[in-house]
Amino acid sequence: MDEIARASTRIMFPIIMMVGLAVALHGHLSPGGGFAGGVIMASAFLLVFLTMRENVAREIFVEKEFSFLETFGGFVILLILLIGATFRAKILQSQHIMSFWSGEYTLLMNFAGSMMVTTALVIILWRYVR
Amino acid sequence: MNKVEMIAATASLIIISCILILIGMSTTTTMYGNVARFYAEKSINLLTSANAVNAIVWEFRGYDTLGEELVLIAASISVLALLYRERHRGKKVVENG
Repeated sequence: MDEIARASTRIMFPIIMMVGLAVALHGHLSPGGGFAGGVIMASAFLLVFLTMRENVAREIFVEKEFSFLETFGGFVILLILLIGATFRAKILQSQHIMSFWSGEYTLLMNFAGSMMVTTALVIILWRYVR
Repeated sequence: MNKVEMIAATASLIIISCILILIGMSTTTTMYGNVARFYAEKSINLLTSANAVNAIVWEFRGYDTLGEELVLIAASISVLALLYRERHRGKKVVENG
């Protein structure tokens, strides 16, 4: 790809990542959620893989880190599902409707789920692009 | 079975299932029972979650969603396994190319 695409990717990558993170973290308040936010963040990585040089893309994509984050997100979700009910009453006391800290464990699970979706899609896209 | 017969079979299957769904909808008073009302009420009162869809997906049916995520993990693992062999068959692996 040419220099214009690379320069615009350098500007757009953090913006797309922030939009995806906002969609994922506000899943319990607005439309969106873990899946949608994860797909948006994976599209930012796809932009980098398509435009950047091979060695720059290889610095960003480290397969061990991505597969670790993928399984880590799964373990977080499983942990919340298994032992989350014991802290339920305390967490619900501190939460208010329509504020950012609401919706029991939905915030944490949306974040872990978006992490899983992002890393899984990035691993798949990397194999198809490179 | 030729092409026309297959198209006719598919069309008749769709028409029959549509008729059966219409019969089922006309005989029951509410289509989903009280499940929809339960979710809409509990997501605000029980979980303080404003988005009912997200509350259903991540709280009421958490294990279901975990299974969906595991499907993604399985897809990524299978892509790794399949395309790695395809790409590097009979070739030396170059790391920082």
